[in-house]
Amino acid sequence: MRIDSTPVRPGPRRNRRLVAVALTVLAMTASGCAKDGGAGADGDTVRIGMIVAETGPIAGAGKTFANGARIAAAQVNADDLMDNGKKIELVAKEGSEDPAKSASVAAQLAADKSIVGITCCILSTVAGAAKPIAEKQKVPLMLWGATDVDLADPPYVFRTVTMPQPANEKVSQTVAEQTGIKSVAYGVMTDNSGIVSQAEAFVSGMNDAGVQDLGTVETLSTTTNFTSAATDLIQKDSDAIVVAGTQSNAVGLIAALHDKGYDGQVITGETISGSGVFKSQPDALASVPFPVYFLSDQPANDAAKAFVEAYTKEYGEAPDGYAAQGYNAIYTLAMGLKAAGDDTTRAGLSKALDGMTELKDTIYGDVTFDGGQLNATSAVQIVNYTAPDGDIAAWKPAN
Amino acid sequence: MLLLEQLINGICTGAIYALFAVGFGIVFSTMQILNLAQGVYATYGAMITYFVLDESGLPFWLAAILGVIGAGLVAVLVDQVAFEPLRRRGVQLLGAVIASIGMWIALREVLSIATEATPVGFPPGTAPRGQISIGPIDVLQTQVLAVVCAVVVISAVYFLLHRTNVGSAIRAVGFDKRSAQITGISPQAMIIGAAMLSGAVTGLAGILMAGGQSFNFNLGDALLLQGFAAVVIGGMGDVRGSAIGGLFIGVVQTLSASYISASYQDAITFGLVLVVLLWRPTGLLGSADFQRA
Repeated sequence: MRIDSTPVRPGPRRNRRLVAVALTVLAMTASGCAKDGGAGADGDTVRIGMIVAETGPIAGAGKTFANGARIAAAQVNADDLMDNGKKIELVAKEGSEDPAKSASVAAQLAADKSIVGITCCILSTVAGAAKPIAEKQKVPLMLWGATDVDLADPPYVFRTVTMPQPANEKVSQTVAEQTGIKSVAYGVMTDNSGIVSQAEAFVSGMNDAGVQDLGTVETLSTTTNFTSAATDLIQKDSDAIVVAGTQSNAVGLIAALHDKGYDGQVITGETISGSGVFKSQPDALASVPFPVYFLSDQPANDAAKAFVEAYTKEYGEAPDGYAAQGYNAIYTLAMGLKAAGDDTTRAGLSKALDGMTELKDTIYGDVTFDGGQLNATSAVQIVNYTAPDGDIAAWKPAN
Repeated sequence: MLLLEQLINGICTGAIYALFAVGFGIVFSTMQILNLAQGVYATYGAMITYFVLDESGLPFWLAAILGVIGAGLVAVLVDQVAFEPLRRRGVQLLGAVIASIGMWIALREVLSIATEATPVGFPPGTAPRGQISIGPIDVLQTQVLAVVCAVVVISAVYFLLHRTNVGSAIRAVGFDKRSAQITGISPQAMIIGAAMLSGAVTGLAGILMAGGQSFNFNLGDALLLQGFAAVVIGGMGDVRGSAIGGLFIGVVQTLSASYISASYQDAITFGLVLVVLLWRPTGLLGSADFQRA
């Protein structure tokens, strides 16, 4: 019995609607799972799940992570780097770097038993959401970008992101020693545990160099106007200011310091690297030192050179550090599969990755693994953007 | 001296919140819509200005005018696409809120794709940068611009709404659409005009927020909560109240971040909002209530 006044629609029209809805749902379902690499899984194919962030708040970085991973898969397949004739098939699903959405996608990928490994996660909160799912389903999870401490947890959770902490320590020490700064203040985005952990590494480096700590000014991920934080930092009258934040947060604070006329040494982390960032604030970012593990202009070896060439050819621009991290996640999984021999199952891959202590000739050079965490401290370079073109060059003190 | 500097920072931030809140309040008082897509208008204002500056080399003031007009047109588009069909069906507040969330996400994704989600900034040498000395205090040019724009635009909006026939017609439609129509007013024209005005004012807030810093397709999202709180404090439907509410929030946020902790600034700010609401449920100057919606 109808209780509203809407006229009843004729049957055929309602049927057409139902068909349209059904077709839409089918189309959405079909597009929800994009296969990178085409062919379906078979005996000669190893399927790797990839939770990408090509939409959402950090899609700019997310796209380069995913593109780096795609280049790695293509190279592994083209050069038979797994040494067993098998091909990697990437099964990409969009997680938008949203914890809830990414956890749901991780659960879907983990439920697909043909998928032997998963790679993902730029943000630590997202990695934290995906981690228990991987552990429960016993599927190796390779984290390519989350930097919070203690996320790596063999035999199922591994991390190939080059950790910013040792790099931050190194940039602090080096800049302090080469510029002779005596005091430092910190601008830290305190509502992100990964950033706080990175800030602690800056502090440690400065302390080791004997620089006086004049205190910290907090910013938040929701901060859009950094003038107040810059005012507080400048008030501390320090020789240097270290800025630790996510990309937009760090750039915003550095720009505010620049506009407020701060003329001391500004130091920051790798978060300000990435295509397009310099263009947004060229005057403020020029000459600010930051550490990188990967520099396309100065490839560490032939592997890095080949990666730069392939990426540039495919995407029309040189790879940045994020692309390198995406590449390295897939490359490490491939090397794990190679070490697993014929046992290209989740268990075989997990065991192989757990036993991995070093990798030769990665795009960072030779790297080691400790507790599932890749270490490449020797690859750290201290660089800065150069005005007006935004090239990245080795940092040198102004005087 | 630090207190004075931070007070000025707070007033300048509050000026932007005030502009946003006025735009937000116009929509609510005219159409009884709690428009959660309002933040996107601010982002579009800033982004259109950026693209014009980056592509055409026009002077900043002209690019900003185009950004303001563009944001206004986006607001009209949202109103006609999302809200007008609901008005025709007599759908009330909740339906409009849900529709506005849909428009917010869709429009934001368009900008995400257009900018590849990378931060952008007004090209060097286009927007005002640097500082002006006012007595012992150095103030950013962008801050001075924000305060001047807020005073001029909010005064103009108040004058328009309360001292002109068009303003009377807009308010009449907001109060009772059918009665206004009987007196010869075109509700459709007034609603489109109000949407345009709301989007333009909000777009200006976005441009001022973006000046001198990097921003991305999320710019307006952060303004949304502050703008809503400002409207609640000031009182729905009163331009002066929205302006006072925006200034209040800007100052409280800045001082609490500087003297207590940034981690608590939102808790302190919205705690005070709660206190104001308990004291005056209709806001400082408001007489409207949610019953109309």
